[in-house]
Order: sequence, then C-alpha cells, then structure tokens
Amino acid sequence: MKKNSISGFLTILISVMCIVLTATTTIMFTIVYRNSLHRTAIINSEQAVSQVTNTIEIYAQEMKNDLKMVEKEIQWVASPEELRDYLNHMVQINSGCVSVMIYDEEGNILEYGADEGYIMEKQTEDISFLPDLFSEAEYEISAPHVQNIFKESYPWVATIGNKIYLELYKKELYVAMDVEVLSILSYVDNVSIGQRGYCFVIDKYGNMVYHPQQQLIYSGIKNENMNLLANLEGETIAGDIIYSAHALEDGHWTVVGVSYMDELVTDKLKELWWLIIIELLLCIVISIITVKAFNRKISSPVQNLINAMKNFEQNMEEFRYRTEKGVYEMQILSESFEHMVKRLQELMEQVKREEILLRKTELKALQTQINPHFLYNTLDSIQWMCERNKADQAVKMVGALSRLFRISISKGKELITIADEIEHAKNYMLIQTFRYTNQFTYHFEAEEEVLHYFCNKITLQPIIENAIIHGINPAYEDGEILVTARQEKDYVVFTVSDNGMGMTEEQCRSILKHDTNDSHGIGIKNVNDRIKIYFGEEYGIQVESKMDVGTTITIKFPKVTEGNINI
Amino acid sequence: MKKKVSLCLMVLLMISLKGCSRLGTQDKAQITVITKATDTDFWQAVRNGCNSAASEYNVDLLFQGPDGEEDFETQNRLIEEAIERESDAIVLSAIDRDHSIEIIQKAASRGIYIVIIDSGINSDIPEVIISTDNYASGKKAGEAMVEGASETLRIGIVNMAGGTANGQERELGFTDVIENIEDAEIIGKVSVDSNMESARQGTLELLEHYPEINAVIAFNEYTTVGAGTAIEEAGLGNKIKMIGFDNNTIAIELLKNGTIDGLLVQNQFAIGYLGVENAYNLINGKYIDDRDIYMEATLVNLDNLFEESIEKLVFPVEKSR
Repeated sequence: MKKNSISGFLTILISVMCIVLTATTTIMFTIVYRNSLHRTAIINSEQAVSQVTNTIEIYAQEMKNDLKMVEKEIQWVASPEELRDYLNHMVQINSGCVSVMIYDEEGNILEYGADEGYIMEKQTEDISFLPDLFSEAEYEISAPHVQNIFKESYPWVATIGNKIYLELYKKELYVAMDVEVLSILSYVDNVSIGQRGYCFVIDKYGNMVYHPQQQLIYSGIKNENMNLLANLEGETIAGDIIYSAHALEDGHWTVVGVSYMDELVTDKLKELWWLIIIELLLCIVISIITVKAFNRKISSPVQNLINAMKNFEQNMEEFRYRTEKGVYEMQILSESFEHMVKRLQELMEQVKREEILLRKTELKALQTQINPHFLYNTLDSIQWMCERNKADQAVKMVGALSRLFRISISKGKELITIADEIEHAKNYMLIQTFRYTNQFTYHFEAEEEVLHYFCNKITLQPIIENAIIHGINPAYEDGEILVTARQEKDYVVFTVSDNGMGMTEEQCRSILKHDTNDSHGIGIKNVNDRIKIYFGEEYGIQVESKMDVGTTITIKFPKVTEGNINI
Repeated sequence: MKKKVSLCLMVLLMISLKGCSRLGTQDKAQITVITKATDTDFWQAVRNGCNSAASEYNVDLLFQGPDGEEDFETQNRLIEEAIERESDAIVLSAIDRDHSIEIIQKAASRGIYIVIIDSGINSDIPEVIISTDNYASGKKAGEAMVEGASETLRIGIVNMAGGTANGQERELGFTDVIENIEDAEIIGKVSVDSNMESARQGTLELLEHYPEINAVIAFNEYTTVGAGTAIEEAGLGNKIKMIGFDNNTIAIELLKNGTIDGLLVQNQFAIGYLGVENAYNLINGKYIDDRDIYMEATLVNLDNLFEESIEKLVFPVEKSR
C-alpha cells in the first residue's frame, strides 16, 4: 500500500473508527455498569441490614410481649407457690424462655421459674442481674451473654427486665426474663451480603453487642472501624468497604452491614473487559476483511486503470486493454476507457492513412508536374510546329505549357483559386487540341461569382484528360467537351461533360475506386480522394454516363474563401 | 502477503476463543483441613473458625480427621486423598511430628500449599504455622500453679504419651518455671493414652502412688478432663490444686465446683480461621510476612470466667447448639 493511497486511507479510517467506537462504547458502558453495580451493592447491603433489623426487632418485641404478659399475671399472685408455679409454667410452655427471676434490690433471687431438671447453684456473680435494665422507663434488652445460673448449663441468652410491684411481697421488685438467643445469633451469623459481606450489631455507645467472628474481635485478630460506625445511620463507604447501618426502633442497638465493593464490581468488570477485548479483536478482523473486499472491488481496479493509462501514454499504438471487474462505476469507467482507446487508435490510423495518401498525392502531383510523356509529346509538337514555320502556334503552345506548369506548381500550395484552376484547364485543353486536332471542340462556362473561391489544384485536368482519352471517339469529329463552374446554394459545382462513348455503370464505379496505373497522371480517384480529405465526405466527384451518349462528371466543393483556408 | 494476513486472523480468532472460555464463574479454591480428631469440643471450635473463613473467602472446604488422636496412618491416608483430589492447599494439625513428613513432601511437590495449625512436623516445608505458643502457655500454667500457693507444692504431671509436640513443649515451659521456685517440686509423672478414660485411670494410679501430691497439672483436653474427674472421684477437689488446658464442658463444671483451679484456654476459633485464611492467601499469591503466628493461651478461673471477653472465648456460641 503506497502512502496516501485509497487502500491505506481506508484502512486507517476503518481502524480509527473501530477503535473510537469500541473505546467510547466501552468507557460509557463501563461507567454506567460500574455505577449500577455500585448502586446494586449498596442496595443489597441496605436490604440485608434492613431485614436483619426487622428480624431482631420482631424477636425483641416478642420478648417484651412475653415479659408484659408475665408482669400482668404475677402482679396479683397470692402466694409464693402460686408465683413459682406460674413462673415454671411460663418457662415450660415458652420454648425460647430459659428462666424468669424475681430479684430483690440486692440481686437475691426470691423466686424463679425454669425448665425441669435445672438446678440453681451458688456462684460468685449472676450476670443476668443487670440493674441497668431495670432503671429505664422503656423495656431494655441486655446484650447477649452466657447464663451462669444453672448447673452444667451455659446457654447464650439475652435478659429483659423491669421493675414490678408485687402485691405478694408488698414492695417493688425486679423481674428478669432470660431468653435464648442462639437462633437469632445463628441468623446473624448466616447473613451474607455478596460473597464476603456480613452483619453485626453494636450498641449506641459503640460497643460490640454481637459479631459473627467475635472470638477474633476479642482476641484482637480482627477489627471493625468502630470510630466510623459509632453513630452511623445509612451508608458510608470507606475505601472498598460499604457500611450500611440501621438502628433498631428503640434506638439502643444498631445493625451494621459490611460488604465489599471490589468483589461485586471488579469480578464483573473483569468479565466485561474480556468481552470487550474479544469484541475489539473481532472488529480488527472484520476491518481487515472489509478493506480487502474494498480493495478488490475499488482500489485495485482504480490502480489497474491508472497503470493502463500510463502504459497507454507510453505506447499508444500497440496498447491492448482488458476491462476490469469491480463495482458498477469502475466497470463503466473501464469500458469507457476501452472505447476511448479504440477510438483514439482508429483516429490515429485514419490520420496516418490520410497522411500517406496526401504524401502519395503530392508525390504524384510532383510527378505530373514533370510528366515526361506529356512534356516530350508537347515539345515534339512544338518542334514540329517550329519546323513547319508555324511560329504563332508554337508561341501559343509554349506559352500554354509554361502557364500550365506554373499553375501546377503553384508554389507548392494544394488549394488555388477557381480562376487559376480554370486557367490551368484551359491551357491543358489548348495543348491537347493541338495534339488531337479537330477531334473535339471545347467550351468553358464559369460564373463570375465563383472565381474567387478556392479549390484543389489539378482537379479539372485529370477529368478532362479522361474525357479526351476515353470519351472522345476519334472516328467522329463532333466531339464536344463542356466545362462549367457555377454555384449551387453553399456549393461550388464543376461539371465536365462530353458526348462521347460513355461508360457502363461498372466503369463509372471503377473510375472512382482504382488508381490509374499508367503514367499519364493522377487519375480521377486521386482527385476525389484529395477533395474528400480536404473538405469532407459530402464533397467530391460523381460520375454519370450513358453508353454512346456521353458522360458527365460533377465535382462538388464547398465555398472556400481565403479566410477559412487552413492548409 | 495473503498467507501472513490469514495467519494473523487465525491467531486473533484463537485469542478470542480462549478469552470466551475464561468467562463465567471462576473456580473456587479447594482447601482440605486435616486435624488430629474431629469430635472434641476443641476441634469443633477449630472447625467453626475454619468454616467462618471459608464462607468469608468463598472457599470449598473439607474438614477431616481420624477418630483417635494417635492414628497418624489415617491422617496420612487423608493427606494422600487430598493430593489425589488436587486440593489447592492442606491445613494440617499433625498427629506425629516425624511420620507425616514424607507424605507432606509429596503434597508440596505437587504444588499444594501447606499450612500447619496447632501441631507441626519436623520439616521446613509448611509455609505458614499457626499455633499456640506451647512453651509460653506451659510457663503460664506454671505461674498460675505457683501463684497464691499457701504451701509447698508437690506436683504430679499427667501428660500424653506419643510423639505430639504440644504436650512436651508445654511440659517444658511448666517445668522450667517450677525449677526456679523453691517451694515447688515435681513429685511424679504419668503418661497416658489420648482418651479420657486412660487419663482418669492414670491419674488415680498416680494419686495412689504418691499420696503427698497436692497439685496436679494436665496439658491437654483429654488429660484435663480425665485428671479432674479422677480428683473429684477421690474427693480430693479441695485439697489438690489443679491446672488444666482447654475448655471442655466437663472441665468447666469442674472449674466451677472448685476441682479445677485454672484452665489455659486457646482461641480455637482463631486458629481455624487463620489457618484457612492463610491457605487462601497462599493460593492467591498474596505476600505473607508473618509466617509463624503464635497465639496466646488465656488463663481462665472463677474470677474471670464470665467476663465479657472471656465468656466468648470459653463458651463459643456454636458450642451451645
């Protein structure tokens, strides 16, 4: 591919287009896709956290309802046994409830309810007795903790408690219910957001309430960004981590969801990039194929045409052209070129032929100008006249001969005035009458108006010669030759008529077709050719003849003035 | 020219097809965890840690172990199976320090990453080792034994026979502390098999043989439970000060009723978690600068048993399921 060629330009164009299109599509799509994935990631996070929050709230609500129910029932209980029975009954029918305690102010257990087989034991500290719980107006639930009240039983529970006035003891006491949280903690453990995301719960002071990997948190192996999360509500993004926070209704705890932006987005983007690279490669493949097709249909034919033109320039005559295949326009171009080449070659051929003919004619004219036969015959005559003392006639002959040759030469010009041409013919006739004495008579009739027009020289003489040699019958003495010159519309018309032997049609035709072989002169065909070469096909000679009647030869010329000669 | 172009086109098409095949889900990493046993509280807690890391890093996890803590042949067989499965990594707690070296070398030669948790092997091959600092925890146990002792300590040791290094290192840490204390001396020692019954029997025999023993040290879960049970049976709970290891439920009970005076508790969840996490990082070619991770054992006694941080360690949530 040359620089700046069609092919090169097109390849660059298509490649650039492909790259630009692919790049912009990719970038746009990536941005939109990435944003949408981000949004989706954040929404996922929000939804998961929301769901966890709801679940925990429901759980908490149930605990509150249960405690309320207990409170309602035990307020008016009449005896410790009744109290104990009720509490045991409560625990037994409620599978989530592990125990209910009635505490006094110091944390001593006055009564309690528990499942069968649970034995209370003395211990250093009852961590289910949490005074904080009892001091709030609303129901507050403790963080999950291990229950250490019963022997060999250490379930994870949450405690909900309240102050209550018991008629039985006639004072305000504390009632605390321990509810197992294994199921809710399991639930939080199993929450996943994306591949790696999870949830945990913190309180309003920024302490950890529950974390699925709490053993790692407490041993310092893992850390959550508590500074950031302490008072968070809604989403925040730190680096590639999305935090979603949602506070529980009562505002004591907040559920925090953690998910990772990169894993959700980057993996999908990697897939996308692979797709795009494949698309780009396919684009390149397609552009190569397209360019090759274009080459075949357009650029190659164009290049071939250019080469053909160059070749034609260098060798016009021998050039042969074969049309190209390609698109419609190329084929038309190609065919037109072929026609042009052929036409040019024809024209050149024609010019050559005409050149040759003209040269031949010139040659012949030159020959005629010094026609030996004619010359020595005439000189013979002149000598004869001189010997016979016919000096007048000799003078006339010499004069006629010299004028004849002067006009024949005409300083080398091909076109002369009709006046001169007639003069030439007259001189020839004069000479010929001396030679063919009394065999014929002649007349010239020329209109004044045509005399200044131009015509080919040596037009009349060969025709007159023909009339004399072939037309006039020496047996009869009344041969007449009439030469006229007149104008007819836009033409100048000569006629040479005789009343001689006439010709057959075939002879008429053959005069115009064959060059004369004899050395007598140019011949009628030559005259006809010269006229046609100079003036065109519509001018020239016509032959009419009737056997034994006579022959009329008509010569047509255009009206040529000195101004429009361009020899 | 035509040939060159066709060749280019072929190459381009091939790259495209290869790209296509890379699309879709990528393969999950496959990690096999092989422990000394699977059914004790200790190893269950380790398993929970492993699972937590497995779900966090989206890893295919297989948790396996023989039935008894002495069956290293089964362990080797499990390692062989992991090699055949073309596991990406093996997290191992070795029963025997010497008899698993060959099989581990074979695994490593196949490009499988090796991470050690808890008990290691005598070899340089494992890339990351996560364990409790046994020597340090033995020392802690010694210090706990000595602290607040009102009389001279005459100590009996209950330890496991066999090639496991943990017990030996802990014992070494313990005895190094005791040696430097005037009022403490080690009277006797019994080596038992790795099950509670054998430990209980062994302890009873030790106590019979050396009635003057007023302190007992046991260095792992089985021996702690067995020794504690024996002491309780003999009615010597108040007389004998006992320090043990690990947070078996029975051991906790014995702690609460005063039979056992202190327990060194390991962070099993963390050990399992870190084991799988590091295996995952090795598979992904992440640079790990800390290849020897030592966890501390925590001394748990009646004073701190229900503290917030301790209770989470001693009573894993998963355990109460």
